[in-house]
Amino acid sequence: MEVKGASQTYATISLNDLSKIDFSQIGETSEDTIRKNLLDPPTQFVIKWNVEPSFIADGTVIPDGLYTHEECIELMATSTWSDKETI
Amino acid sequence: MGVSINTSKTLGVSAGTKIIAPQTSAFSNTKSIDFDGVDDMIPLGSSVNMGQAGSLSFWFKRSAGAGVIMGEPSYTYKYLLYINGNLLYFRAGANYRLFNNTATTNALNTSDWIHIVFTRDVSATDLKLYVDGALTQTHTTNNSSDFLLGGIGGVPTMTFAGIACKIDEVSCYDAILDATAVSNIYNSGTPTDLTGTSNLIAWYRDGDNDTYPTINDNVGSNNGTMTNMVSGDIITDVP
Repeated sequence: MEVKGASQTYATISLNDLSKIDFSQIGETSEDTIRKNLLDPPTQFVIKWNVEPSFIADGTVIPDGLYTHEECIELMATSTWSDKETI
Repeated sequence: MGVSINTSKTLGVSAGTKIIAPQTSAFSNTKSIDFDGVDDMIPLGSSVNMGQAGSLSFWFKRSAGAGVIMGEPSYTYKYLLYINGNLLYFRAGANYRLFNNTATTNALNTSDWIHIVFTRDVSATDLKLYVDGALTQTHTTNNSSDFLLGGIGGVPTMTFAGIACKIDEVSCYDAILDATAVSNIYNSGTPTDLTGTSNLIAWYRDGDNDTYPTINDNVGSNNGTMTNMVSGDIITDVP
């Protein structure tokens, strides 16, 4: 699925819902390549789309959060989602 | 195809004679790769090994913020290059070196395309950073791990975020590029044809002559795969 540009939406999803994700409808390649948070164990992962996937539209999967590209970058910079080098 | 010129007169050439100019290189750079800074990455089939004396060259157009530019799954934190503001971290194995002097931070303080080269010589304990053809900072090498590149933009196992950026013309060498070689690759700010370059062991054109999702290795067959990306991430913004 083509996903690009300012119109794309990012969402955080509970890992409990991973089996309900149809990867043909989102920008992520597969469950092996998704970005998970760094909690132990991880609790959420990220997906993105331009056209709302049917599993979101019909309520099969309810996102924990919806973000613009800019907002998602800010989220990914937090310690829950990313390590960071310190000087 | 050569250029055909119709002469009107002169210099021993009869009027109307067609002069066929020499064939010029077919090289052109019209594509790069756009990374979203969330989960876009191009893991390589296997890590490119630049060994104990190697060099890495690429073109880079960044956003603000922090994130991985190049990944390597066998290194701590799974990255090779990481940028935070105008600070550039180079990690081989378990240790990093921070490139943060004035020349480096000034060179990184731009939203334009820049050309970056790292050379790493373990036996000489010498790690150099060149930006836009100029040496900006030298460190001692951090350890004797091989110089590896496992992914452009990152690798799936990394715990650091990538950075929203554009990357183009990634080339790897199993030798130390000297200042002249670096300057030749920089080519006054225009990517140049690296075909036949000595010690070139991998070359990713990052869009040119590539078909989504495969990013070809133009030296060998160690291709990369655009992951969590789409064909629209091959863009026409180039250095």
